[in-house]
This record gives sequence, C-alpha cells and structure tokens, in this order.
Amino acid sequence: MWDSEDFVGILGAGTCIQRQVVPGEHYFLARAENWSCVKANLEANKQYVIKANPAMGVMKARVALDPVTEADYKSGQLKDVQKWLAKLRPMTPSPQAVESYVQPRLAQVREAKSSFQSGQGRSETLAAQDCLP
Amino acid sequence: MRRAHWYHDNRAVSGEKENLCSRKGDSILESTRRSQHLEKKCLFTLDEGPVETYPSPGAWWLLLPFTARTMLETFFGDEKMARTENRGHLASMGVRVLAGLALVAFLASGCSSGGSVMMQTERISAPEQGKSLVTFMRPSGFGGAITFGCGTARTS
Repeated sequence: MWDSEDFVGILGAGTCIQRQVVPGEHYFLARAENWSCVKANLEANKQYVIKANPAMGVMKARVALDPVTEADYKSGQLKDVQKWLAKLRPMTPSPQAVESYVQPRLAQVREAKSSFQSGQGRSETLAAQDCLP
Repeated sequence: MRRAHWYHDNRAVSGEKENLCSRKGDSILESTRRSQHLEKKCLFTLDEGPVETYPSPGAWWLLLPFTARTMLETFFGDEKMARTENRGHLASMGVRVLAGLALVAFLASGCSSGGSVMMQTERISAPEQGKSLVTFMRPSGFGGAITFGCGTARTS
C-alpha cells in the first residue's frame, strides 16, 4: 500500500494499517498483480476506511481497493466496519525493512500514480463526506 | 494399462469384434496392440462411436481439443470419453501435471501476506488534531472478500 510515493505497508489477511495523514488530496495505491487506486479528498479530524479486496490472479493475488462511502454506512455496513476495526490486527512497517523494500519499487509506484493521475487507469473516489460517522 | 483392459473387456463382450481383435492365447497387451493396429489400419469403429487418434507431435495445437476432453475425463471420471494411443497418453499426462500445477499456483495466489516487513502496533482510535486518520483493512484473505476479475469490488 502506498500513499503516493510514501510506503504505507503490506496489508496481510486479517490485518489493518492505520495512517495519520495531512488533510487534502491523496492517491492511495495498492499493488498486487495489478494496481488499484483510490483518489481521496480528506478532511481534518475525520476517520476514513478503505477496504482491500483480494482476488485470485495467475501468479499472485490481485487487489481492488474499495473505499467505504457515506452510502455504505447508511446502507447498514457501519456495524461490519466497526467490528473489523475492533477485530483486525493493526500493523505498521518495520523501520529496518522499509528502506530495502521501498527503494526498488519507487519507480513503479511513480509510473502507476502518473497513469492514474492522467486517467489511463480507473481509480475509486473517497470524498470528504465519506468519513466514519 | 487401465485403458488396455477397457479395450479388451469391451471387445470381449462382442463375439464378432473379439474375433477381429484378439486371438486365443493372446495376452491382454498383445490383444490390445492388435486391436489398436486394426483401428488405425481399417478405421475400425466400436458401437460407442468412431475411434479418435492423436495428431503428430508437430501439430501440437491440434492436441487442444483432445486435451480438453482428457481433462474432462480426468475430472468427471468417464473413461469412455477418451480413447488414445500411448503417445497421446504421455502427452495428456504431461498436460495433466501442468494443469495441476497451474491450478495450485492459481489457488495459492490469493494468499500473499506481509512477511517480515510489517510488525504489530497499537490500535489508533481517533485522528490526531489537524490530521486525518485513514484505515486500510483486509478483513479476509478468502471468503466474502474475494472478488473475481480485475475490476474494483464493492464492500457488500
């Protein structure tokens, strides 16, 4: 998972990654066999949730980032999200391992981000009002 | 060898074809070889349908329909669906092994994890003053969270 060119972490099954970010526009990228992107517009002092849906690929997993929106909360998924937030193991990148992991991948991240920014790849949207109620 | 038995047994129940294909005192293998020779030479057909033979190894693409049929036979257990020569057997065995490996790789591909890059940390319940808190979650590796295809998936 990447916040533009900043490494967020590797999202394993049954885990979550929490990240404090500066409000404003962000491109959250996930890489597996494919790239998935969420273009987010964040407000200060609000909490947002993005779900990563893994899928089977040919040689490795595929991923689809799925921002939980205001409509999702209203349609009754708030309980699920709250349950997951309480249950999933929070993880953070190990400082020793980050440098060696990030460096070889930065060029690919920049390329993926620019393709989403230019509209070549389709990205999901997380609006300011899609915060956790 | 199982198919050799099948050839022999099927012909054994038909007196007329038994005479064409085997002679008294023949082993099962000899009888089968003779029947296969007759099939190639005379386009001998059984009641169940025409005999099918594999194309030459050079025309590998012609094997595809046969391979599909052999795989169906493997999965659904109908031995009468595929009647092959020994060379075809070897080819189809190789394809079965490759298909099995591809299936295992396909299933295992959904199980990637963070390895040693990540470590457990404290849960954050609220954003810091002036910051936004974004939580990325992966509730399940398999099960309800699975989506097939390359498109994005909804939460439901």
